[in-house]
Amino acid sequence: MNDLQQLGQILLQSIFAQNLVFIRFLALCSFVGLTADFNSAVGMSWAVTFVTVLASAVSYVVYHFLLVPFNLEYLQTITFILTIAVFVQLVEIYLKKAIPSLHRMMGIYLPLIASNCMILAVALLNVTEKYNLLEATVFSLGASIGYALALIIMAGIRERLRYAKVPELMKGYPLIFIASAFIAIAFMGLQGLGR
Amino acid sequence: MNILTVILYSTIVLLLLSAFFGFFLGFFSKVFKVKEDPRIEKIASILPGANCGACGFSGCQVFAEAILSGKARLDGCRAGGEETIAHISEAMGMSSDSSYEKYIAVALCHGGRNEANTSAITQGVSSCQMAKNLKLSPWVCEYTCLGYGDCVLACPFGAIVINEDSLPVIDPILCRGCGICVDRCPQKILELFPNKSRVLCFCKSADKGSKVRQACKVGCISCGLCEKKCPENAIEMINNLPVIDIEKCTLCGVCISVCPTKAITLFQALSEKK
Repeated sequence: MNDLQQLGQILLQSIFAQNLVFIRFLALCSFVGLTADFNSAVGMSWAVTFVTVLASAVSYVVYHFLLVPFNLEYLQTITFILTIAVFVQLVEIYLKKAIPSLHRMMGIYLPLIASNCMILAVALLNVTEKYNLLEATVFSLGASIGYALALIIMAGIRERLRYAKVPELMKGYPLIFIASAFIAIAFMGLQGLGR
Repeated sequence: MNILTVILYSTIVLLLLSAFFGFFLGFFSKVFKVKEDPRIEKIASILPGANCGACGFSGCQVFAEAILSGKARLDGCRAGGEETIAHISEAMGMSSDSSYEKYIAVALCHGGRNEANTSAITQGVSSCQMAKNLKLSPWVCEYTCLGYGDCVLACPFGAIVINEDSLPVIDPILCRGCGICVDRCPQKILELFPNKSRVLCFCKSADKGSKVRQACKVGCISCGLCEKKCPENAIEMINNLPVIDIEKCTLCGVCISVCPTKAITLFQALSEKK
């Protein structure tokens, strides 16, 4: 029961209180770049969720069974980057063969994911927070749900902004940054969740 | 642990890891190899490869796939011209009954440094978009070509140069009519026209005559002479600018000769220039 409670805590924390986009300010590049249209935001969210959960599990194994025994913890960043890049490539090759429809939907986002700092951050946070494999998986799932939430909220806002009268000076990115700052303030109000 | 063993260990572990991943990926790409239609590669190599997007697809590769799946027309590549369409038809084993028409971008402003008046000197402005957004135009005319050359940078075929008069000059041979510059121009000076001779008003100013006179020597002062003198009644003044009905126009040249500021000029088609 206690375990289950803790897992729930980690999930809620990673979605809201420690939301990677709005509280930790990670993955802002894809957050700004892919929210112009709702469908691509949803596609990217799916692809990120898929890769984050699997890549964090794989990098957990690499860290604990390869780096720790050799006292090579300081190599974590470079090995995690390697692992994630390989994994993204693998997913792309597999999807292209096995599920072409999904590949067509996610395909263009997969190379973007390889350089998405959120996935590396999740893998690194798993190490610093000393999670076990189950906790790490739950944390990465929560983090990617939080990312999806951020993308979907922003895509919705941007679809409405398209019909709003905006001063010429504020059009485009300035307004997006202001809007995301407001959402970030709102997310700070959720700090108590999962404590 | 001394420093040498540390270096040795980290090198070996990383080497092993990357070698393992490399083999793993190589193995998987063999196992999950997808056979692609060889015609995609062939058609993609025929296309200009500028990824200009004039066909409505996001790039030449995507357009090639769309041709094979029947989503795009064989003559969809406007940038490639007749030659490309003929090659694609040949590769697809179909006869080319293309309705291809060459388009050329035209800059509808003749108010350069010598003709138009300036009201200010601007420094540090590097693009037309910037000048437009910050309202930092040096020109008196609000509708003028700003001359910072956003179109030059946008053109994937290198067909546009800004001349010493700070006006864009478009090479009609190099221009493939993709329309990227038309979208990029913040002043909407550039427009696409079919490669046919026609009468054009090289001014976009919607201001009244007196205001245009203060701003520019070659602007349309909306005097309406062309409208009155046109024997075919093909010209109508809308928003202080002449709108020429291409169906009625017979290229008689009366409007060109009566225009007091020479804003109306003949745009010559490429084939007739040679």
